[in-house]
Amino acid sequence: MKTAKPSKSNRIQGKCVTSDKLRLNIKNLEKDFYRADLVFYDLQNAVPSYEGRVFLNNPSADINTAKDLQHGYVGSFFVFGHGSCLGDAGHCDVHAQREKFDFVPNPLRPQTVSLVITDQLKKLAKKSKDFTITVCPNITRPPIINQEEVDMENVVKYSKVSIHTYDKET
Amino acid sequence: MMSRIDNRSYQFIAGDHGWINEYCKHQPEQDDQGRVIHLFLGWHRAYMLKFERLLQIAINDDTLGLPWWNWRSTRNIPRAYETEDADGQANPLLKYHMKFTGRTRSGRDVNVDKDTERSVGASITINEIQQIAESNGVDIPDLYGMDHFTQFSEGLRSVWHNGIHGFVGGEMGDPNLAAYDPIFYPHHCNIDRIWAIWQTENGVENMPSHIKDVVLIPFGMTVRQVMDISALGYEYASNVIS
Repeated sequence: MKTAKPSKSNRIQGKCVTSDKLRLNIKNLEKDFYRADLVFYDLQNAVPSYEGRVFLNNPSADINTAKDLQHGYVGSFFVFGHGSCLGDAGHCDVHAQREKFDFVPNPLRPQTVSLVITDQLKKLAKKSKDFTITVCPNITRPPIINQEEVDMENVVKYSKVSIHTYDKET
Repeated sequence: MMSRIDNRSYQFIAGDHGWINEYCKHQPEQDDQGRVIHLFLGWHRAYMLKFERLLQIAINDDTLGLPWWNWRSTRNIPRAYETEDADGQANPLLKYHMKFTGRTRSGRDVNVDKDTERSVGASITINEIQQIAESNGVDIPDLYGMDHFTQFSEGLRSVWHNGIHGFVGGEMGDPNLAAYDPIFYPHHCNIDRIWAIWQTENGVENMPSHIKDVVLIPFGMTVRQVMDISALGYEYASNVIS
């Protein structure tokens, strides 16, 4: 098991991941959108279970950072992580198409996760229209059986993150 | 204790969810036509049914019902599942002794011969889960107000369901092994109860039509066959006057 650092609260923190800067092209914060979502694509599931704490414009955040808007915290998501694969070679490989007699649901398939951040974004956008997104994993220690197989440091892995805003115009 | 390879045994049933069979359904999948299907609620209802029925057969009592753990009102492991002894014997609801061998994808031989363990509250508390659920608009009262099945199912799965697995920790924190811990069943019974209550407000058949005829492996039942708990012969009434 690659070790992750213990936090001040004795919780286990993996490496926080910060996105590139995203620019919000919104003129009127009150009128131009009524809902905003933060969407993570291809979030990896072959990791230990964790709470992903999401901070906007706070790349130095960690899991000891206060969970309030003043520190950029906009919410958390949970990953019920599959850990490693406990099947033999090939058992958990991700295939584009499932074989006819393959009943295993392939729990290692990456997933899309979203958070509604409407109010938080409206408040934070008054300070800046540019955003970085930092995810800090608060990790559930995997069972002993699984520990040797699990990378406890590099837990947060995704292919893309987007901010989606919605207006009421059709 | 029943032989571990008897297909009515605890180890065999636990192995339906995770290691070794891994039939469980959690995150959305795609069917053969590329449509997204959410089988989390239906699959686990069939699973609870099977487990409950096998318990009834084991003790020859058709009236036995699985208990549920309402984590919003009992914010720790229920006492029956955390005491060391029960009636002077080791409490079978506290832990289960897993015993099996296997090999990981990296080629490491695994010889499991150990009790399930928990690290309750080490990574997150139930109060924290509730705060996150409220902040995400998916606390239980919020979920009851949603009339869209997919939104309800994903809201329930992604925060309260996943969060409680993390709260208990140990084997419960890993879908491969979670069902070996006896606390798994009252947790999922509560998930099923919440769905049943939601159905009373939003309709038993309220779900995308394309998932209703999906077969829930290995139970030999379709989603349609587990939609209506009254047809399945059980209920979650909080109070019955007769």
